Amino acid sequence: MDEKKLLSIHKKYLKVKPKVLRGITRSMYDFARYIVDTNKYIPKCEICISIGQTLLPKYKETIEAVFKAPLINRYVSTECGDVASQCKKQEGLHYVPTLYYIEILDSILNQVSEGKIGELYITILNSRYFPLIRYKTNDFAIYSSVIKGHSLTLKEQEDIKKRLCDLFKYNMNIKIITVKKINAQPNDKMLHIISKV
Amino acid sequence: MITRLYTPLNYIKRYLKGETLKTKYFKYLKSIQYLPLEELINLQKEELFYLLKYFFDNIEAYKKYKDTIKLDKDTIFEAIKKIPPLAKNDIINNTNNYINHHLKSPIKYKTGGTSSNNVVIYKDVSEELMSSEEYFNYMNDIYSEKTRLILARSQQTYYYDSKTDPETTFKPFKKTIFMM
Repeated sequence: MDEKKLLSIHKKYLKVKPKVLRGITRSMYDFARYIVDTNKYIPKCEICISIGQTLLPKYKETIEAVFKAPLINRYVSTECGDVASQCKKQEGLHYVPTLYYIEILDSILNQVSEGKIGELYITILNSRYFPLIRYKTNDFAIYSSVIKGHSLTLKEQEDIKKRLCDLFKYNMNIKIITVKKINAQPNDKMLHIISKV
Repeated sequence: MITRLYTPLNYIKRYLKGETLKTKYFKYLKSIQYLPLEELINLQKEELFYLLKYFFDNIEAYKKYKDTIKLDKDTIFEAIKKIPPLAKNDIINNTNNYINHHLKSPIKYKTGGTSSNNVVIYKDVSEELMSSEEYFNYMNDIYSEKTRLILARSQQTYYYDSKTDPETTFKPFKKTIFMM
């Protein structure tokens, strides 16, 4: 986004004073950086939602500091919709098992083992017009048998970072972050979606 | 005229009931949110079973599996593994084979093309009514009454709160910023 657009967004922000700010990760970060660099006044909002791109730690820190609000990470794609989201605890991402069937598979389409990286395949369970069965999202994930039972899905994804290709635009140094594990319980399953930095 | 009257009346009715801007599907999700894992998995199996059965009957690209893949609710997770994954190129090259021609008036979506080529997919209106977004918002204490400022770079993305909400609008992102 160029400075003209950022200035326009700032004006609208002051006019609207939104309680919720939702945006493509990089757009939100650019806007937050603009506020910092130009030292402009910005009223705080209640919550920010990051979608569409990898949420890097530096993005999260900057956005939360500028808007003085918690940043929720959400895994959203045009094809699949709102697949997973963090809750207020920000411990992981929840998805709705009655809407999605998610698989994390290796290159020969076997389920990856505990802690291993695999590609993310999504089946949308409510599609009727256009089937997305085992749809290859081009995103990557780590499979883990961890569960926390405080929300709808019981299957959580600890961290989402998606779309390797997005990152080429901004940073050529790509590496895969190791996702930290939560205490595991036997016989429970949990999905961790990871990404690259 | 009827529509003009119905929308605000419906809004007032739901407001008085204290359940404004909540879809039926959201209420369903709320009702099942604390079910044990086994029961959630059973619900997932059931959904998957009916989905595959429906597509084996109605989608050209999947009709060939009707005789070769035996569908059963208990073994549905094994059955789905026999279906090859769907890549973006499969959709681009054979879009017509993946369309359910029995349904009409789909909503067209075009992906941004950040991870590969642009892909056009279609969704039935009923799918739009069953979204997890409202539930995710509820998890974070976000309700439709709250003002939103949305930042996006995609010109193809469509955004809305909920199809059943009176103030629902389907507007394309013409610019970088879109306000509701």
